[in-house]
Amino acid sequence: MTRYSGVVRTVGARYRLPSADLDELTQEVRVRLWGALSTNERIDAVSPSYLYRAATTAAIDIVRRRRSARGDSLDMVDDAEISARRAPPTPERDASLKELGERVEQALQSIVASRRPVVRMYLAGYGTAEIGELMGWTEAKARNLVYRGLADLRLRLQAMGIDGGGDA
Amino acid sequence: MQLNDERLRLAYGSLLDGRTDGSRRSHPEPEALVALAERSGSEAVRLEVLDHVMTCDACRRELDLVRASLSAAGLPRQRRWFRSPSIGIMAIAASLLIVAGVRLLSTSGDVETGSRLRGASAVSTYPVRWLPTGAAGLAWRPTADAVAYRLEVIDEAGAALVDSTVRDTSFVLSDSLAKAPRMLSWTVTATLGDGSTVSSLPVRLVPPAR
Repeated sequence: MTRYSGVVRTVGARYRLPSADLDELTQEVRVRLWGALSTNERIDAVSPSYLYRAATTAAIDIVRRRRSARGDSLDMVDDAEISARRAPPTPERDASLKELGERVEQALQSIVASRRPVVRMYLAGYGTAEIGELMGWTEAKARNLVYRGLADLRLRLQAMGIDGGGDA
Repeated sequence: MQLNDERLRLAYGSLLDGRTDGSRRSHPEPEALVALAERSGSEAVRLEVLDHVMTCDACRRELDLVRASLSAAGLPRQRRWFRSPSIGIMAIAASLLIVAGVRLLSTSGDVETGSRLRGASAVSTYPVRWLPTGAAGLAWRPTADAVAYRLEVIDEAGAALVDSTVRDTSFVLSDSLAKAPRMLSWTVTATLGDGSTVSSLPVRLVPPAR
């Protein structure tokens, strides 16, 4: 359990999760292990598969609890936090950029479904290594899919009159 | 200005920032986020879930939470080749051939051959223990020099429903999987210190009649 709470901090930092989320997660797993195993000795000796199951169900319960608390209406979800995570306004982030974003989304809708989420991840700032890790692909495969997906996207944008030489 | 990757990212980010998000859309179940994080289930379904997650800030944060939890607990590594349906079917066919071969030899009266086949080169499994909750307790004998065990539960189509690498010699299969109306079987493969592997024969999971 000690190892788990240590690693969850490291991994959580990688995903930029707020400290409160990590506390909640660690606490949820700890409560589960206490409920089932009762003593520190047994908790320290818990098998990896048991810990894995506890971590899985803990995460699922947290997600369910949060959705239930907000009635699954995302309009009310941590607006302040979302705003804080947004990049500060710059001259680039103007109306024309938003318009281009809408055209990008429109173009994304028409590319091959299997490439779309990969391109979304890339455009959202994820690297090809992380895309590969999440999907269980090699980095080379993820890079290839991103490359092909972006090529598709550019073709669609060109068809809309947005080419490599101009703005939206 | 060139429509380079950075420009596309800025535009896309601007679009996402402007969304109050998908309260009007249906969100994937938490279990689907778990399946995405642990790379289980079909790739097509995971890509569909990912497509939603990447446009929904709340789901993306939930996925990050799930990934952090599973990574910290030791995310089981997936065996990708086994997820190919054709290879899965071939694996089942090969397993059936082995079972048929064992039966043939064991009924041929060749006692020596039988004892060799039951030797220490394979992982021995215990009978499945069905828990009151409906979950199935799977266990196997420790193998000398084993550093890890890969447990696989597959359905009749060869799709891996569970593909987990563990260090201990037992595993509890959740009731939702164990009671699935599909013919499931499980095998365990021990990875030895020298990198070689030995496997158990596939065992069918047959829930007790209620």
